[in-house]
Amino acid sequence: MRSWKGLFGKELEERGFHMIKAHKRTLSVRRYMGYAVFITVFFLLLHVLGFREYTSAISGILPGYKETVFGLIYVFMYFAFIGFVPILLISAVILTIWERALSGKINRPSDN
Amino acid sequence: MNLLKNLSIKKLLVHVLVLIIASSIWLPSIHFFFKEDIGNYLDDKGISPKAKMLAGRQLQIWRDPELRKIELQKMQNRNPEWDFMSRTFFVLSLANMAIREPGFKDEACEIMDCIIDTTLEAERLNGMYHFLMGYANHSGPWKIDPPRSIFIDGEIALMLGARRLVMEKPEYAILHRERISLILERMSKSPVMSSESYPDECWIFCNTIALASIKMSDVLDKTDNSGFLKKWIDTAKRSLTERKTGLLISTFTVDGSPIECGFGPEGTSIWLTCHMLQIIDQDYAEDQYLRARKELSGNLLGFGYSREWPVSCKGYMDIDSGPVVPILGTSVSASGLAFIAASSFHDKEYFSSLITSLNCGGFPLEKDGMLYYQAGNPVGDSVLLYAFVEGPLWERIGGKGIPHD
Repeated sequence: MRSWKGLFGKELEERGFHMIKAHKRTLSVRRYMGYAVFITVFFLLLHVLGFREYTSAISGILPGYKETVFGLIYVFMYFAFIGFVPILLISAVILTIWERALSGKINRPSDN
Repeated sequence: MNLLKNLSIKKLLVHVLVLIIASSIWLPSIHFFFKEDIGNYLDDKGISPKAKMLAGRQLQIWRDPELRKIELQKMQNRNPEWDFMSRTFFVLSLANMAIREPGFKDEACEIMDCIIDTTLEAERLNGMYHFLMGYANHSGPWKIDPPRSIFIDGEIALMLGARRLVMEKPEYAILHRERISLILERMSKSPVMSSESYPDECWIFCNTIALASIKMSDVLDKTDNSGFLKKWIDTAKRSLTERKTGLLISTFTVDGSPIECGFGPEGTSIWLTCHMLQIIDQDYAEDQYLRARKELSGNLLGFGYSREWPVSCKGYMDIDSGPVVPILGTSVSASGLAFIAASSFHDKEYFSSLITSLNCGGFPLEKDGMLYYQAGNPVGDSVLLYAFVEGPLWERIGGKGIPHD
């Protein structure tokens, strides 16, 4: 396998390396956003389908197994929605800022 | 290889750092989304909007015989005590609501009568065991003869007294006096002036409810049991108090020895106990409330809660405490009852933080103009309703909380 240096020279190799890093960072941001969207969509779906009514399962007065499972799934997704989704979104924002700040720092010497 | 390893460690650290920063921004802010003006729940004179909505469901249950049968059966199956206590707290709520809104008085009395009559009928047909948990039958002999539970007698007397304080009813006056006479007789037989809820098991919760019903009778029937009540307080201070916290213990035998299931103070007992004692000895009740507040109340990121046991005196989980959250020691039942104490002692700060938790974890559901707390059950709803409307009934008896603004 030929090296990047052999193919495009040192400058291109460095640029390619930074591109991969930037791509990876973008992937992290996308992943965070993806998790947040998944939790939100899944939670809203449960909510619209009326699963909130099954949360009585927590107090133990719903006798049915199915209702208990539905209730517990809703409770789990509810706390994921209010607890994790905003954290994931804030993390995505911080990572984006971090990424931009870092790429600015990397690009600055080559601009000169 | 080393470069890759360093990169992934660095990347991992960056992610951890970012998640920590994001969490420290978000977690302390969540409570703002659940915080609500307590004016929606508490009203100095009338009935607050949330209380009206919460009462809606309970009223529906008691207006519709079929629905009532289904709901009460569900409660009986789960825990007969819940069935009984939901009646007591709803009668107390109705009495307060009737005083707050005189236009509601006739309907409130009608429903209170329905609850009281069906309760007395169930007791007459099935005996007191109908409302007691199974172990009442086989956990040993009752120490005071004949077997009777102060849990049942005290709460029935309290319901009768509350109904009479709203509007006198001669049939209930006779029944009330009979119960009070039995309660006084049985409590007097114990060296700690407390009677059994279960065989050789006296609960502070039930005994202080009984004291409140005695006080009600004094007001209604112009009797004077003030000497008995004062002696009870002296005895409790001397023999039923946990030394480290200065709080009343939960469970003890007829001779006053603490029982394992409630040898120390418990959130599920002390909050209501403070409230009941308000009409017996305001200063002592105030002292117990402040101690309970110090030992049991908590606030995590703006969410209020009550511990089941003080840190210095951990007990055992049971059906009353429900599941206790590890580390925090939070109990849903204790937190529910803390609403009553926070409301009756006008502790707005604690009440507000409890409301924040209720809005977050109680899964409130508003439907057809009615409010349900999905994570609760009818007894939980009755307790909350009582916390939202209590006040006027106690004022009629003579006790009034001191503001803790």
